[in-house]
Amino acid sequence: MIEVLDSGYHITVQDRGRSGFSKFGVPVSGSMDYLSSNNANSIVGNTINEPVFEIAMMGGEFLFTEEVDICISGAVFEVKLNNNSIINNTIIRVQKGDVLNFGKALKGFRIYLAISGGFKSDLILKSCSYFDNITPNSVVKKGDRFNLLRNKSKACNFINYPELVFENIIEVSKGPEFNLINNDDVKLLQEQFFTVSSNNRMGYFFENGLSSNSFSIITSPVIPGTIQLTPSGKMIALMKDGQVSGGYPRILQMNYNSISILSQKKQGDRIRFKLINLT
Amino acid sequence: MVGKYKINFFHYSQNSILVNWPQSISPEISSEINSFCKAIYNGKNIIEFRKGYCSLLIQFNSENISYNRFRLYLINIYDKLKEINIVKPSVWEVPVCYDDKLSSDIKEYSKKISLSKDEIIRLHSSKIYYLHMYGFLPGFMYLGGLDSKLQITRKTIPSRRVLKGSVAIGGSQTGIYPSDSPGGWYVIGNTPINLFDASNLNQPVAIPDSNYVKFTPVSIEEYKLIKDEVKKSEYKFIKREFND
Repeated sequence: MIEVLDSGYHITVQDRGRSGFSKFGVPVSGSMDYLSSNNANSIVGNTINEPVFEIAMMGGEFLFTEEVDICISGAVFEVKLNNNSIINNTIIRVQKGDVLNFGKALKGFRIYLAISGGFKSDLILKSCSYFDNITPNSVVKKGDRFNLLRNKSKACNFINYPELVFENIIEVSKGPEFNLINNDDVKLLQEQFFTVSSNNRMGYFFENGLSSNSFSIITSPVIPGTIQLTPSGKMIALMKDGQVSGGYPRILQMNYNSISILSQKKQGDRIRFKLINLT
Repeated sequence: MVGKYKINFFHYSQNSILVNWPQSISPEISSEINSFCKAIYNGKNIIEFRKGYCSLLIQFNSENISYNRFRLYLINIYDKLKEINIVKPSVWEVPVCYDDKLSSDIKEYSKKISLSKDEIIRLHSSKIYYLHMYGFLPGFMYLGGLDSKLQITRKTIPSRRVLKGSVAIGGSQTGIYPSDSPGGWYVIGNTPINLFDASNLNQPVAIPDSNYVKFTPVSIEEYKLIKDEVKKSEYKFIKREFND
């Protein structure tokens, strides 16, 4: 069993998300940085569907009441196992009574904790991913306990290059309303750095933007990775818990890897967009 | 015969395609989108879809089929779309208590649109509303057909917490908050019924889209009785066939 001793700043259980329910207004959810959560699962021999803990920004402490292999991947945090520092992307054997403590994020924003064989978390609408009003809890709380499952799956997975998520180039394709923006703004989009002002699992917001406008569209579908242009000219990048539809013009669409890259950015980080064509 | 509009396609992401109908809000277009969804629902390369008022975003398995081949597949289905896919809509009654205790914004709203509370209730509950689609929150219905006299600009500062079941008006739309949420609409009442149940895998929403919704005013006493029935899972929806 794993017991949560400290719930940190924001810890959730995530898997690949809730596919097939967006027609009822249910966001897909799932790991924000799927490249890193896949790595954490793959390294301990799990399938990439296995739920993991997503730990954002800082904090979190877990007590293990039995021996098990774990792996952490994604952001670089100050992480200690019984006061000894441990590193990302390797198998770590924890013993009965061990305490795993997460300090501050030193590089990146979200770190993933995978447990070999998995842990028990309720499947609701085909996913364990926490989401308010779908799952009983929206965050992991102090005192929560998770039983280990010991699923035997020696999955042979591809490990992604772990440094990729720390890059600052966000690859985007044109969104359906891209043509609404003027030539100066198209130039700006490709040449300027954009600074993250705030973020949560629903979306990323940027300090600087394009020219203000009065565009609006009839409420239309969006998906994670859609970048909307608000009337003030600021952009919102929709992430895994984002709404399924919206009325702001959809000017850009991030690809899978870029969603992971952006998920590792925090307030003050700067990114650049690179326009690509879908093939 | 359906499949009668000029639709166009947009390569939205690596594995999704946007299908656009003429950009206007109408039950005819929504109903055709719904028929189209039914026709492709069990297609082997379909992952999921999201609806807009006049568009549909379909995620497909791009490892099995290329964008262009998938687009041709969709065109083929659209051209063959038959009337058989149209579901006969029903009118679902949603009980609403407009009592002051459950309508936090009705006084302000009444003043802003210069209509009495009785007149607001009469106008709001006499129309039937078309359920175009779900979005915004799990189980949130996009309802069309609000009387133009009831339209109001959204609040400049959204309320931090709108209670579950709140029946509200914003812009040219009316809707029900299926769960507690921040929101910028004016709350004029509350329904005791549940509109979303995450434990129901096949049909988590109470009312299927492309149906009609009618608000039935109930007293605070009836509201409490219905709430009790809902709690005991004894509540039965009242619905009737829709006739134009």
